Amino acid sequence: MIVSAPDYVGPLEGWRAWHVVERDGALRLVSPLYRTAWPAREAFAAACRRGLEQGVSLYHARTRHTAPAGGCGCGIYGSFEPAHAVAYMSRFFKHREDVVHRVIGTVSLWGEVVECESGWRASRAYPRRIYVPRPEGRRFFFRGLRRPALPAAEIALALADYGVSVQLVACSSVDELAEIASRPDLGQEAA
Amino acid sequence: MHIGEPQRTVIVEPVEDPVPREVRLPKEPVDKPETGPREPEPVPAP
Repeated sequence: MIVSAPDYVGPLEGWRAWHVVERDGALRLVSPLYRTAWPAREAFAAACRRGLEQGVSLYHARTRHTAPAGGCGCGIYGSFEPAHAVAYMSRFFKHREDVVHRVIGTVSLWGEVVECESGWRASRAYPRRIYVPRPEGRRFFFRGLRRPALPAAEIALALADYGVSVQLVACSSVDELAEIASRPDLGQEAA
Repeated sequence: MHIGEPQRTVIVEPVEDPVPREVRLPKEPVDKPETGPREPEPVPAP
């Protein structure tokens, strides 16, 4: 029997964006691309859903595999830099009626992990730090971000269910959010 | 998210669980209500 030693004994930490939706009376994080909610206090497990939610079901049936697979795009994503993640915060990106707000943060990634040029795709993940943008001034809507459907403070409080650091970030644009969130001292403060 | 081409696959096995588990506090002891017959009140001597 061949047993391979792990390459890392601590989770990798990447950046990503989530959409916030209401599920069963609670606010939950979902991927910007898929509708599966990240459970609170439980690891989120990857599954290859490529084609499933775009209505191309034949693709999945022929190529079923565990996630992440090197030759597929599946797995739970985390990027090295916040700038990659904030693109999914944009109000121009795939708006859904049930999205209450869009947040960014860091994510712990572990299990089997495909290391890519500027990020990772993992088989297991859990939020590590969550940054909830709080609109500042009237420009919020016009500079890339959509105003939240609920007060940002209320959303931050609800996301405390995840048991990790949740922080309100006053900002007026997507770029400003990325810049503030990546400050090394910010992760030390929890809301 | 565009994170570029795959470079290699690694195995990550955290020593500590990255998921903060719910802290279950022990239940406080609850005083049981009295269920037996009450002691008769002492009657003052005439």
